[in-house]
Amino acid sequence: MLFRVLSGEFLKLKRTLALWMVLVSPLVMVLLQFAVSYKGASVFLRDGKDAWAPMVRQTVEVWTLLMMPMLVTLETSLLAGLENTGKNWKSLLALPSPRWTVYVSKLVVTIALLWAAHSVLIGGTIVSGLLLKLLRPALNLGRMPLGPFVLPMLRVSVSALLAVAIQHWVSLRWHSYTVAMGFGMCVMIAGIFAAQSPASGSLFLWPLPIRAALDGAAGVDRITAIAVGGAIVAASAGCWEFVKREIG
Amino acid sequence: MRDFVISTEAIAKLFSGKTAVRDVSLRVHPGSIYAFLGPNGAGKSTTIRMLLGLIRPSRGDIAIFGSDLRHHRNEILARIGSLVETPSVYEHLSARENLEIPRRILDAPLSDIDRVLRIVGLEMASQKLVRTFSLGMKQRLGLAQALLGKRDLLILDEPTNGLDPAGIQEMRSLIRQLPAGHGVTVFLSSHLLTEVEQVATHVGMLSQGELVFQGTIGELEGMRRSSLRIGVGDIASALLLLNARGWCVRQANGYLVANDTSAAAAMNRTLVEAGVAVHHLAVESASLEEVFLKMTQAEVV
Repeated sequence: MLFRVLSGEFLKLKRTLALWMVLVSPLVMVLLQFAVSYKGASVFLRDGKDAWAPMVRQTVEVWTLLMMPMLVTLETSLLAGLENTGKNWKSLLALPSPRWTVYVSKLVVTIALLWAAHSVLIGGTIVSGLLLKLLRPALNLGRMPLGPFVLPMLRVSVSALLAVAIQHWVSLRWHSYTVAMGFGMCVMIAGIFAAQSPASGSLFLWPLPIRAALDGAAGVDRITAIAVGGAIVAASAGCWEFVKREIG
Repeated sequence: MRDFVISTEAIAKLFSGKTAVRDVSLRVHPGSIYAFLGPNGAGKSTTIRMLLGLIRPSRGDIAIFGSDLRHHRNEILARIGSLVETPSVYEHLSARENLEIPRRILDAPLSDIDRVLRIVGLEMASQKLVRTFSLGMKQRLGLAQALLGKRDLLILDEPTNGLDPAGIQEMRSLIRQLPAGHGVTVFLSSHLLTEVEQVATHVGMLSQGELVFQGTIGELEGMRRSSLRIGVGDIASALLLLNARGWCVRQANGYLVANDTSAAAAMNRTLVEAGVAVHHLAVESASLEEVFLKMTQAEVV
């Protein structure tokens, strides 16, 4: 049953902004990075060293702290909006599928969209790097270090699950875009500040992805465990509330 | 209990301590078109939401197809198609894509989409985006969704809401053909008896959360009271005369009104012999709408 509900959820994405955002948001990031690197190559040049490392680091930082939280907020709000706008909940939940399958399917779709956006970002960055290598020899780009780029992005993908699970519940719990968007923006800004401070950063959940991306290997296991464990708890609690909810 | 498609035992629903539905015991026979009537706010939608498992009754039991809704929710819902108030459609998808979503959940064959599109007359518009549809077309698409799969019961909440007269007529004829043509029992709510009296076989009337009548349309017809209406030249003298002769006559809207319709000829003769001119004499029955309004205590605007 879960797969049947899930395939229906994927069908609903057709012609939606939610689907377009998977391409648009990482490509905006790639284009900005390309433009900055092309015009201001000196930003990344450090004593004649290969510019790949600072470029990649900047991409991961900006994406993880700014673009990704905005994308998660937008995607969860847009997906919930598919049901909220047309008051479709009553019809969807009167179908013979357990309610938890609807909650889990929508969560899976959000995660799939986020991970698809990450794939576009990785692919786009590689293509942009190769173009820069051709067009901007001054950058002194050597062979692209895939490991230092792809690995942090994989860690970001996993450690973002907790934020996704919480934002998913908020979007489904309140039928107003304003609440979901407001919540997402507030925690994103708080996350940026918290990420600057190791003390508060360890207490606040939103900077987990950036810490997973940039921390040394020692801290990564702990961060991943917190993120995955927290995501399971948040998703289970949200699902329980959703199953019990009365649909007016 | 097993003889009924829907059987509820004194279901009630309270919202923040306020009773929305009180001890409603519905009995819906297989193959019937059951009109669930009541003024706005009477508790019809709340009852329907309980029947669809969208909200839980505060007390009482619901059995559908003889099974308890609490314990067999998914098996029961697999046999129920529903259209609750406005049609739930995804405007960015085509009609066919809108039907594909419930079809996948119901695991119905692909050909089912064509079948239901044919029933509601939307075959030609199946590839069009729903955002280009009129409200009537959306309502028909909602009905098509409700008909997908093997549905034995349709629950339609105010299915003609917002439709123009032609749309209402169309929806009515669609509903009328469902029991005989497709073996479906229909439970539909409305706040207007006139909207459903031509299609319904059974009626349940809800007023302030309570079921005040339940029976066949024939039984409801039997509750219509007839009265004799007499128009005379001198109403005061005629009133005195007829009451003095032992008939119970009252004055209403410029006419004399008597409950005893069998005495029409005798009253006429009495009045004429006394020199009172009679210009109107008719036996009149209350309309079903008047019976409905009286039962549900609504006021005619």
